Amino acid sequence: MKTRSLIIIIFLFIFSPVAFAELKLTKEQDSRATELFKETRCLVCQSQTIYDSNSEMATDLKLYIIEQIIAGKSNYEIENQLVKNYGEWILMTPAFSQSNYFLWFGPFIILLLGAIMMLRYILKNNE
Amino acid sequence: MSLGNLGNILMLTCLLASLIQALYLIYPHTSFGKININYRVLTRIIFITCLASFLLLIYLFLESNFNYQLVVNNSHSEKPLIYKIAGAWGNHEGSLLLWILVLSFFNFVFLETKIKNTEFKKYVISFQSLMIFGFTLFLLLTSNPFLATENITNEGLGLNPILQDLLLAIHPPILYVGYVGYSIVLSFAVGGMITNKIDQEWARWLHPWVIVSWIFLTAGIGLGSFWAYYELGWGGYWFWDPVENASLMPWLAGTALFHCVIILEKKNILQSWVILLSILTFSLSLIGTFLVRSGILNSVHTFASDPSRGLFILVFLAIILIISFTLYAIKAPTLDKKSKINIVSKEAGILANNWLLLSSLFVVFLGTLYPLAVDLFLQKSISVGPNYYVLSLMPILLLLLLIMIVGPVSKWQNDKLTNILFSISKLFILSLAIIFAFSIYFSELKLTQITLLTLCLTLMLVSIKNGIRTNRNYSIISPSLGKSLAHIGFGLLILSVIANTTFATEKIFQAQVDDLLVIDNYKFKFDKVNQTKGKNFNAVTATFSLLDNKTVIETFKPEIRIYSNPPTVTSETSIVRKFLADIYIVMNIPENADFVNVRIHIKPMMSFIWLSIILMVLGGISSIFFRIKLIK
Repeated sequence: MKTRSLIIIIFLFIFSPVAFAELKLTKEQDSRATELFKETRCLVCQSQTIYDSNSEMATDLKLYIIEQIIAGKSNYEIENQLVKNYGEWILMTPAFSQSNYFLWFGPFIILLLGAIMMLRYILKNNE
Repeated sequence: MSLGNLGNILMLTCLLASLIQALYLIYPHTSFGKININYRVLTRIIFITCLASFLLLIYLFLESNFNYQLVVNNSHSEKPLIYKIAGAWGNHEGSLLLWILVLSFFNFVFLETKIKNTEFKKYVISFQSLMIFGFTLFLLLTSNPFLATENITNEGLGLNPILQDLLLAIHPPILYVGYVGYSIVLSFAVGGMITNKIDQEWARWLHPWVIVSWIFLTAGIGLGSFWAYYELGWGGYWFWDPVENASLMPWLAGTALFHCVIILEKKNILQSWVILLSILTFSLSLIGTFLVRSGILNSVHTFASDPSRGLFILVFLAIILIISFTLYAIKAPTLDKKSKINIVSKEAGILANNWLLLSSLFVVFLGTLYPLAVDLFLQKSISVGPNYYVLSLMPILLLLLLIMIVGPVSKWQNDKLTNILFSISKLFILSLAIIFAFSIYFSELKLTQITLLTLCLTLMLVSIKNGIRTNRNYSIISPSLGKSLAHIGFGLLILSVIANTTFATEKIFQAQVDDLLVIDNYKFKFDKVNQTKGKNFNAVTATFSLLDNKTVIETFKPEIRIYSNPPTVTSETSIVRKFLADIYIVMNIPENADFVNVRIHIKPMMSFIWLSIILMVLGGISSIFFRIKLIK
């Protein structure tokens, strides 16, 4: 009872409702949920995933993801739905889409160019 | 005269003195008509005025002088003493003043060094003064810390509680010394180009400055990471957050730079490359500042942001770049000396190090700025999270570890690949065996993990062996000890990070008092919840005991703090460090619930991550003392 009275005192300061206590997941579903939580950005926080956040928004999204998992949707389908609803920003890892080709291939191009430049420098010096 | 006016006069004096000294760059005479200019006097005036105004600002915070807007905005009379002091630089204006102070401090220390080439010295000091002038102008025009308040109040607004932390009081100054340290490196480059002095002696003079900056930047990043680990309560220590990336970029460039300075010193090659890296490193330091200040990036650090200030930094960066690149364009053809480079040699190893460090830099740069570009050109928002960095950096890291194993053991000029491979083969096989045994007996590892862990362990063992072999007289102050320590540290860092991400476990509980919480082999009992009172906050403290057959081994007391000035709620973590793993508990209290949310992390190898950073810093310190001895 003491716990409860203290909690009431600080109600005004803390907002983090948790409502999915009663939803039970299998072990496999649970790890999938965790994986998706870590991949989904909390839209109202600063660079936090919903996994790390306790905001209302994050809790709603967690609930949504759990419902979708229980409904039998795959991770891919859930991610697509999230992107459709909230935009690409919501996923922590950028999609491998046309506009992101340079982001994904850039590192390899630079690594290769760097290697060529380095070898050319060495060869030029050895002339 | 009010104290604020005194501060203004001090900064105006600094502005004037730095302008006069900077004019030497275009008017290289020591007198204007009959007025003689002594660069020594000017440098000292600049430093003393900066120091005095910084101390004055601290004094205003100490006495909670609410006649000044900055004190009103960032302090509170009930704040603990140390945070009153730290409040002086825990904001934009104060930290800018600190930035200027560090600029002038480096300038002052450089003046006192025993470099005999006065012409070179004058140009370095003049360019440094130009930077001091620019920032002082910025301070006086847009961010004056000594501005009187318009509405007199008796109480301040307080400092963001998340920043009320001992580590955060020292983290920014240390990081700043690192960032700003690279300003003197750039001044060296400019001074060296003007006086045609980019040679081996120049590299020897430059070397300690590059290392000092590197030490502070490394320590600053490490402290920031440590702070994030225990204060943010997310269990992580590196988030690939834009501001973290902004400090990592100059670190990567700076690391590449000081390896190159070694080649220049030994072999008299790569002159123009060293110049380019000097320009790049300081530019990245400035961009780092710009990113933090402008708030154009989504980050946990955006507590001090204003777009117009960002604009100034950009204009300033542009001016610095134009000056240095123009000079570079003029001097480049005469800079480089040719010399044969064998593909199997220490210098080739260092070249490969540069190739890989700069590739990593590019990945971080791309990941940080790509969302901005996409937003600007395609009106689309994307997030670039940790997965991107891990995937893109992995191949580079593999190559880097390989180079770090073979590079340092190879000889200058020319070596045989078979000799090198033979000398490391035993330690490599030993490492592979250890990792394999671990994988079989404890926990199955993936191929990439086995590869990376083996390379890390090999790197550590090879560095230890190499350190002992080349440091026969067991001197603590030697370049080889420094190199070994830093390389062991890097190997240990990657090893611990991989082990940490692979074996970390965590669980979220909805717990009531007397509940038993079980995670892995650990059992925790939720003992009680108390209300406690701190100096300037109220708190709810929960007590958990770690049990071993009903006996209590450890007690954890995570807290929720409620600050009133400004009103904020924070979660304080409770961490117990064990040799092999940290146990990390953080809680929060949901609305309308009769339980608390408890998150327990078991985080292996955490202490080794911090140890690895300490090793790198010690490595730097060990070689800096050697360098200083050498110059004398």
